[in-house]
Amino acid sequence: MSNHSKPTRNRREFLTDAFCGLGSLAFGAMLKAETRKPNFPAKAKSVIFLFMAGGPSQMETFDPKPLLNKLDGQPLPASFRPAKRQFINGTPKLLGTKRAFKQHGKSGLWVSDLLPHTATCADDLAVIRSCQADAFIHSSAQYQLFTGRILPGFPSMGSWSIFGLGSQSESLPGYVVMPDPFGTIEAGQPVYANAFLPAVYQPNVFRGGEKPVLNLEMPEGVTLAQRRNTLKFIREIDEATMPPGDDEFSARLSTYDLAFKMQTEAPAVFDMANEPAHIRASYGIGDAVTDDFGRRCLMARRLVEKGVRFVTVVSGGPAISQWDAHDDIEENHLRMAARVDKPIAAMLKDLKQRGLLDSTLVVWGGEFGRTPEAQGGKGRDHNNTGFTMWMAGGGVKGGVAEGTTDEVGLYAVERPHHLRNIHTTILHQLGLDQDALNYLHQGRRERLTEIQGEVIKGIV
Amino acid sequence: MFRAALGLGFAIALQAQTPEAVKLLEARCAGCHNGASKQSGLDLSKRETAIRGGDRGAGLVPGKAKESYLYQVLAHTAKPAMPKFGAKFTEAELAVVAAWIEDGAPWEQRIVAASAPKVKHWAFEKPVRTTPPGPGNPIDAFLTAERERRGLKPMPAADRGTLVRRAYLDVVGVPPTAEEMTRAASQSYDEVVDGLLADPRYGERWGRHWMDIWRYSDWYGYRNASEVRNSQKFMWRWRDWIVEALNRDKPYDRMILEMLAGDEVAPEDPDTVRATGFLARNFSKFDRDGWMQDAVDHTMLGFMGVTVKCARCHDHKYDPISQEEYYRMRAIFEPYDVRVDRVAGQVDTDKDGLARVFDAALDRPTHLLIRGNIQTPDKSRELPPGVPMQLGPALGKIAPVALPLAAYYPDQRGFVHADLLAEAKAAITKAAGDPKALAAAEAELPALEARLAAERAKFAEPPDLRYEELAAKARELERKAGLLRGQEQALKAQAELTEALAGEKPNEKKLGEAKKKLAAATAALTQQATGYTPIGKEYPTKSTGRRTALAQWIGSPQNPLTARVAVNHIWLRHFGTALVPTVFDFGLNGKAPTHPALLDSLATELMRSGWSMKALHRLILTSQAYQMRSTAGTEGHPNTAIDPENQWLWRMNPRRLEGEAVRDSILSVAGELDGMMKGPEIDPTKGFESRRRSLYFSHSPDAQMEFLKVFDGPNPTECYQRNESVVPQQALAMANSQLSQELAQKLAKKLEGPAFIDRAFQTILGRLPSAAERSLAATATPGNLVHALFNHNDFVTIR
Repeated sequence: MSNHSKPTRNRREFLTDAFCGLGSLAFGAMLKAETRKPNFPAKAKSVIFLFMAGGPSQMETFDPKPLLNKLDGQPLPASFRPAKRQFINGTPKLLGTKRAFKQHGKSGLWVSDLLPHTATCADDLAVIRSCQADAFIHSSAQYQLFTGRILPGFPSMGSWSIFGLGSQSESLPGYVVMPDPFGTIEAGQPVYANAFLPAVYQPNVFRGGEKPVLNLEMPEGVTLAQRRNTLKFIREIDEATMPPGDDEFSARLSTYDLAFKMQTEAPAVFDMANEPAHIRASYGIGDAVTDDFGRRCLMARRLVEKGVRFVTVVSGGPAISQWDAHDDIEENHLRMAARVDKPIAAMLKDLKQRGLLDSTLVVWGGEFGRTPEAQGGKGRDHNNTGFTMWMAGGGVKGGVAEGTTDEVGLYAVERPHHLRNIHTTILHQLGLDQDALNYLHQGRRERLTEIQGEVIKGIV
Repeated sequence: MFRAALGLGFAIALQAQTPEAVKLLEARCAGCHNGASKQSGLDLSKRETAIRGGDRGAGLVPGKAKESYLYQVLAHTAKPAMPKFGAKFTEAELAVVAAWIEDGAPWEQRIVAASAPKVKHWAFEKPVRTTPPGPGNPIDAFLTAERERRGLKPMPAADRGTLVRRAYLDVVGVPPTAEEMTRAASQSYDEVVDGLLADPRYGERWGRHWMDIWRYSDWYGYRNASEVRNSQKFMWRWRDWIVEALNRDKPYDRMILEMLAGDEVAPEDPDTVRATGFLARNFSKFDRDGWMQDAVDHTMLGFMGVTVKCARCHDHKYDPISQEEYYRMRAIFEPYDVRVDRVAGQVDTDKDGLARVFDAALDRPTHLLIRGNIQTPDKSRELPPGVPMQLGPALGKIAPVALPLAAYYPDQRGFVHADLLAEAKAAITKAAGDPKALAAAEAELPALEARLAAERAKFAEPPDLRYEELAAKARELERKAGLLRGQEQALKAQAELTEALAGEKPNEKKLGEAKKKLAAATAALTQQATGYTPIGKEYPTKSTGRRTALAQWIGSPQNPLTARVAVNHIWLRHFGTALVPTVFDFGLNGKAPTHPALLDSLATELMRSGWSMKALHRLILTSQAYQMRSTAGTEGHPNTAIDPENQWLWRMNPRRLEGEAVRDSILSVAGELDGMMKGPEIDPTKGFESRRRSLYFSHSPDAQMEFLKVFDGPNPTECYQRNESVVPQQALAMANSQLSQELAQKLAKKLEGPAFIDRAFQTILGRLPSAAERSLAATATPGNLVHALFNHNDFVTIR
């Protein structure tokens, strides 16, 4: 029987757990000891997921549709299959794009002028133009993107990853989420969570500002030396009455040593002051528009460098602070892209120059894309039937475009890839098999992919 | 192995001339493939449907055995090999079937369905009380027998101080104060136990335990827009019901009844209806199907410890629960919906109210979802409400409940009328100085009075003959008031419009809103009223009674699971280990109880006592087992070699306090705990600023207090058992959090004076320091000593 139905832990398990098992906030120290072997040789050691909340448009970014511009203002021709939308009703008119597309790099990958910086990394991108999802409402779709299910209550891909592989760092969390300071995304924080996986696999959601992890900073006026003395005193006074052979007791005491290790080492990773000025500038740090996302991208790089397994960086919060361009695609996407484009390109290049891109899978995308039809004249509604995501590094091919949508960008037609395939591919690059990575939960083997999923062969 | 699908266990009606082959089908196949439970869509109750076949294709081809799919699966020449459960047909049997098909498959008499064999499983049999194998507390008698069998010697009782502290932390969730310790010293242990069980803090401590099991969650969703997507606002009223019910020792079967059907059994009593928060909590704005799943799955997990959810997509792989039975359970919940009723003193149900359930659609049909897929309901059949046949007694008669006016038209209650009138009067006062608004408000009060009079007449018993006249008057007064309000609004909208246009760059959003308002106001002015506006919403006058029947089935003394599951949950939280280790799975895939006779004895005792939880707590707390020392005392004790994991309870298990108890204990020993009970949930980011007990803070998947999370706080989606981890984040929280830092300094100051060290140990750990501790403590500053004692293993452990 799997550990899901384990009773309260017995003494021996308790001991094991004390260092590596069911614990709160997945710091690597507990995870490292039980680092598991991948199912097959891994291409990537870490994942950085750049989540564009709200759903960026494929027609404005990576999926050029000349016919769409020709049909601008006309209803969807009958030859196309109409789709169900959240807001659009009746017979909407198609909306051409104002963005200009160009081929970039040696590969000649098409990228629009919305993302001029990302375009310079074209030869590293594997653009998947035929993504599909089941839901066209933000919260359900976000749940599916993160957890594989449209319902709350299932573990996120970050939690699955550290469940499968453990962490590589002792003093840092294995799975970090950096939300947009604009606020919580529509589905809320549960999308990032470990759900029924043991608490040690939960995300460490960084708080904004200087202190990303709670209680890690020294209290005001306390020096490291003082703290060392305090901990020594705690240990001594505890040991003064230590019952013979009480292992739980020693486990608890040793957590104080680990806590001290984190306290002394982790803040240095969080402190970006020692990054050279030109690196900071390349991420757009210091420029009001890009500063925040740039900092979070730089932090993501610093974290994977130190062995953090899964980092999610979110662009977009609630309502109009996300890529949810219902009213005006131009206004929204120009505003959102300006925040992320430069930092993302800088991060890809930075990873590459440090030799980290090969072992870091970067994934970009939203919970769905947008409709070729106009909403209210200038906006676009949600489209879950065909949209674009991209991957880079971590063993995926660069400069390729996988799958296609129809000529207006509504439905995925050639080699459609359900989110399950995205999940399967991410796990695969980490060396994990989507089927083997399962957890017996209340009598059922649960998987990130629910029941199935295929590796996207065109990009690996 | 048992047969997966279970039809209704009707008698078998076969006539003598029934062919042998049909008898074979009846005996070996119709348990799953019958009129009631058509597995794979195949119904073998009659020739016609047998020929038609099921989802996989045609079944019988009369005259052609080898071409008949039915024969192929029996002969294992086609998949799936049948019968799924049980032996393959013998060659002789296959020959009989083949000959019969070749013969044209003659078949006249319908098979009325066979029933699958009864599954033998301890948990599906009623618990029977066994005479304890010795005198005294039955718990000790049963445990002693098991220990003796293994040569284990029970540890002696813990010292009095440790024991009293243990009981306090366990029963009320905070350590005893110095005064309480002194008082306890003058009492017998039994008196201490009685005192604790009568303490209202018991309801808070154990309320949180049951909130875990019953999935308490405050509302969550789209916080930015205050849009409820899951659970409901004002869930705290249900939490308060839990605290009160425990403190009053409400019988457990009654608790189940009130949580599942409080609106049916006490429709006029909001205090009882609060309990239906248990079901209101399942609300999901975008996913009715998921909502129904949660209602079925967690009702069964929480009360009966069975994992029915597997049967959503297919028959349960381990337990005798067919997919059809799963949907019959769903049919019990299908009619219910959630609403928020007004509460006295607040007209606006966004600000306060009572979130509750009611049957909204009495005949909303339930269809089996093929493979659990919402896209593929089996529309050919509507499933009636029911429960899994083999899990307990038959479901009792479902009797629809006629609801009183106060339940189906809650705004007809006197206090609502009074509150509305008070609001209308307040509006007049507020409008002073604005002539137009004042005129409108002054006209609205008589209009409201007239509407209330008309409403009272409409629902009067016996009928009030003046209704027509009162309604006409109400309509007229409302029209007049509406006109005045319309004028006032139009004027205001006009002013807003002017303002919006005034700026250099008109604010388009404001402009649009102002235009909309003006249009609405103008429309109101010209509208012809057809009647007066009712003061509230009317709901169905009946409830189906299905949930009452379910609750009575669950709480029936004939139900084999309910009492056992409850006993197991309570035992787990006293001893740190459960008698049935898989607390949510008593089915065939779960683990067997370590002490079956003890479990059954306590289960029958719980029912015999009238489902009194306090009686069970008392029995446990006063057992010698509970009072044992939690350590072996010496290294290499022989017991540790025989039973290192203490499975046979030769000592007490030390336990890490839950996060709530850690926080509450720090506040308590620092003298800072605010003992105020109940009330609306508190912002979870205010875990330091507010000194209330931890269970009163908002707790949902979206927002939980950080401090509690670090100490394995309960997952609000499901938490049948807490984890008990030891991780550095706890050390960080205890060493660095504002809570422990600031309260340590505060407490140190408070304890200043002679014998500081002794009093610090007494206050925080409930004992005096040893000589070694005393000399160590003398080296620290007072603040550091208190801080270190907060971090002491004994502070966060129930010893």
